[in-house]
Amino acid sequence: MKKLAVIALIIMPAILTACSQLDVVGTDAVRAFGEIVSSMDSVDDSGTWHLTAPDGKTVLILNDNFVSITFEAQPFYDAGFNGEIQEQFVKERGISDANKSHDSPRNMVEHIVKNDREIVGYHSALDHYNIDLGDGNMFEWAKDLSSNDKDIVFVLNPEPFINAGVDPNAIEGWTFAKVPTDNGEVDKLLKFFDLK
Amino acid sequence: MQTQTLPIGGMTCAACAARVQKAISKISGTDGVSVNFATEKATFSYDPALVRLAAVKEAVIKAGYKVLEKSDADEDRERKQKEIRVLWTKFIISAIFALPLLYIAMVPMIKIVRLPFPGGLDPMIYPLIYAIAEIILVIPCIAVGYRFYFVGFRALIMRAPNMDSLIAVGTTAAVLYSAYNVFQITNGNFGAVESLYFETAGVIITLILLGKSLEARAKGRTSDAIKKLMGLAPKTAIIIDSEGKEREIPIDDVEIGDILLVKPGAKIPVDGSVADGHSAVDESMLTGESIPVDKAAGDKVFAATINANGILKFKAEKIGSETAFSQIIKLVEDAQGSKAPIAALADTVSGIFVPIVIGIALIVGISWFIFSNLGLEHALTIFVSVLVIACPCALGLATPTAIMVGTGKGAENGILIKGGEALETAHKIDTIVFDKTGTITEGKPVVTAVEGEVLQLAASLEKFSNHPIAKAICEHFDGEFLAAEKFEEIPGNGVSGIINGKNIEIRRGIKVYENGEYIGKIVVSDTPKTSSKAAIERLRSMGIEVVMLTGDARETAERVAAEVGISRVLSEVFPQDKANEIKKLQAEGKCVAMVGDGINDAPALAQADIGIAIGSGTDVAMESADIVLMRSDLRDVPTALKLSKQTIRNIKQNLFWAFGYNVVGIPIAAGVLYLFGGPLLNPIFAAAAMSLSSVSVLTNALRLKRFKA
Repeated sequence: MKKLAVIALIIMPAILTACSQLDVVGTDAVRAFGEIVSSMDSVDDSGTWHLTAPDGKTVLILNDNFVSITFEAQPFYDAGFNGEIQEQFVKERGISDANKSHDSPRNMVEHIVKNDREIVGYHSALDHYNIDLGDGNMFEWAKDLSSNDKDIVFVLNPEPFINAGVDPNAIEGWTFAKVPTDNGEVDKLLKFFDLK
Repeated sequence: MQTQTLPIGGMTCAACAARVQKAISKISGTDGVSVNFATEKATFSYDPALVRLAAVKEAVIKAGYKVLEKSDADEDRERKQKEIRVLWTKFIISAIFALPLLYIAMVPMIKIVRLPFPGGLDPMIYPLIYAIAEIILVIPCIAVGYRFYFVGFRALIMRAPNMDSLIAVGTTAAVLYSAYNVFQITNGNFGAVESLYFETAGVIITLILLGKSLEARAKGRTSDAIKKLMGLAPKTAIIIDSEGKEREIPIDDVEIGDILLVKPGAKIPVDGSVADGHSAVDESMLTGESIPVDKAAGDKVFAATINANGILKFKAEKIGSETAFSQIIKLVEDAQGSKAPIAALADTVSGIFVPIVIGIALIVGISWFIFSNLGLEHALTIFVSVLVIACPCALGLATPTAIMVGTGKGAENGILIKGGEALETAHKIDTIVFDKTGTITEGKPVVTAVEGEVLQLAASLEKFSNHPIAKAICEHFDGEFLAAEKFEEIPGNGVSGIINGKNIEIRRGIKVYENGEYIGKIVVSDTPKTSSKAAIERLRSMGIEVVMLTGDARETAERVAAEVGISRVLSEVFPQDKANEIKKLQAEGKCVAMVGDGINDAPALAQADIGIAIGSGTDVAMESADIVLMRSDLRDVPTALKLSKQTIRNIKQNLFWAFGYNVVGIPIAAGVLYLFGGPLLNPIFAAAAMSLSSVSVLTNALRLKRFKA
């Protein structure tokens, strides 16, 4: 029994190393994110990184404890939103504590890949990586910046907005579309940017 | 020419059987080659002056198959049992890996229900780990199914593709394409994870192994009848040595002339004649007759029959393969290994089937790739489906399995059908000709009246004849025989001789003439068997015309015919003319069966489309016949015809399903339905359907086991 435990102790790191080597999506997602970051405005506000899209109003925020997207609320009111009045909407997801050890957005995504691997995925239909923010909301970025015309995409689940009276086709700056996913086609609100 | 049967190993489908048949037929000096996929045996005639048996064996090996050592029934059974066990174990191993492989391949695609799935294998998060997991799971399936690849590719290289070639090419295409996509994943093309088909290969191999396993079990059950017969064979004998001591020896050590002892309840080990003692012997395993037969000194006893109550000492006369019991087993084995003419079509199709299917798969796959915009995956799916759904196994099994079960069932009922051809022809019979004496009647006539003082004269001449009427006259006469000279028997016409200087002639009738002058008559009656009338009624109800053929006088013949319900009588026919009478009926366009028992019936039995000999009859009659009835019960004649009809109907059903399955299955796999908006056949379902086709054909053949006489 002891022998087995020793063997397991020796083998486990090897297996874990091998598995991390085999995580081709995680590794490449970090690389691709590094390329995206270099094409966006990124501001460090006491350990909270703000990556602003070219429209200046839609932002990806990376923090030691959460990842979120914030976007202007007005177009949704204009499209019929009848909920509480806000200046911005925020879609946020908590992550494992990074303990203020990350000095760049790329490193923070690397931290997410290491510690919250299940929220980083690959969307084959658009050749994008994504961070799942929960409830059908996402931030996606292109695997290959040079060949993709949608380098970053802010993805929202339209259902809560529709339930709040929004006409999804009338939201300025957002596209209401059916998006092919691994679970079939789903309705999404999209705001995409070409960073080139 | 000598006839030889070789057990062949390594045949996996009817195309293999066709290949072996072709290889042997090519050798000059061989003739009548017949390779049976179901019994895994090749039977052929060869001229030892022109060809050596070793050359035939070499040709079989060169064609890619094995010539197995001839084994006894137990070894053969053990070999087949082992084969079933190995196939089943392989299937279980393959299933253990294929099921999780199928699960991880399918669950990410199922949208309606969220089934549990290991997060570490999510193809969209860990595509390479997912692909490697699939590879790890498919390797054991490929390993246990290695034989499909070994045999299939070898056959392909030798330009004689078989069913294994289809499986090998289909699954290899799926695996190679998937391996290419794994390479794509490692190069960063993660979308390639959606084009992995490892589960197709794994599940196809598993399903084919399941099909083969069920097929082997069902094939084993088709020869149950012969196994039952073989199981009756005694293993030892008690010999009385020169010092008068009893000693138990193996059956193989018994020699002709040995005096053997059989205790009550024991089996008689070999054929022989009773030397001492008397007992009743249960011969039902040979004749189907349940009433034990009394045996005393001089009577014949037969191997495998059971001594009921007394102790018998007998002299061994026929041993080993010469015993009646061994002959019966050989007869049934030969029949089971024979082919019916109806099998010719299936054989021809099977021989060219696989290359045609590979051609269709290539053409269809390339066409979809070129003429549709659905991509390589779609074309590959169709290519693999067409290869996998095409099934020559069902075609190959359709006829021999039904013949095996049919002839086996016949043997169980005391009806020995000598071959597939006999079985097939028997169902076409519309006219049955019965010999009278010994067939319709008991063959033991008795004197019922005597006109004039002719009994002593007749008995004195008839004592030299073996004719049943002669015996009846002699038995009836209890006086002193007169001295007779120049006895002469005119077959079918009577006897003559000189008694007290006078020329005495007894014409079958039975009229007695002295120097040409009629002096009296003896009336002899031969009573019909109790079963005759019922048998004839049953035949007539089946729409079969029944004819009685006899050398007897018209008056006698018509009386017996009326008693049993036969309206057409051909009487006063000489033995040499019996065959001509059959020819005449055949000339009328009738398909004629002749039922007889004597040497004089042999030419007619041979001339008839089907010769049916009564088992109690002569060896010559049994050799000339196509069907032998072990009992003397004529009700077995309609039973034999009914069995033939049911077997042929079963063969036709099998062929219909086997052909129909391919005629329908291949176009569906080729995407014809998809072309018109319907579904595309997944290769996994194609493999399931393919295995199901063989199993369904075998199951249908096994239904014959429920045949009731």
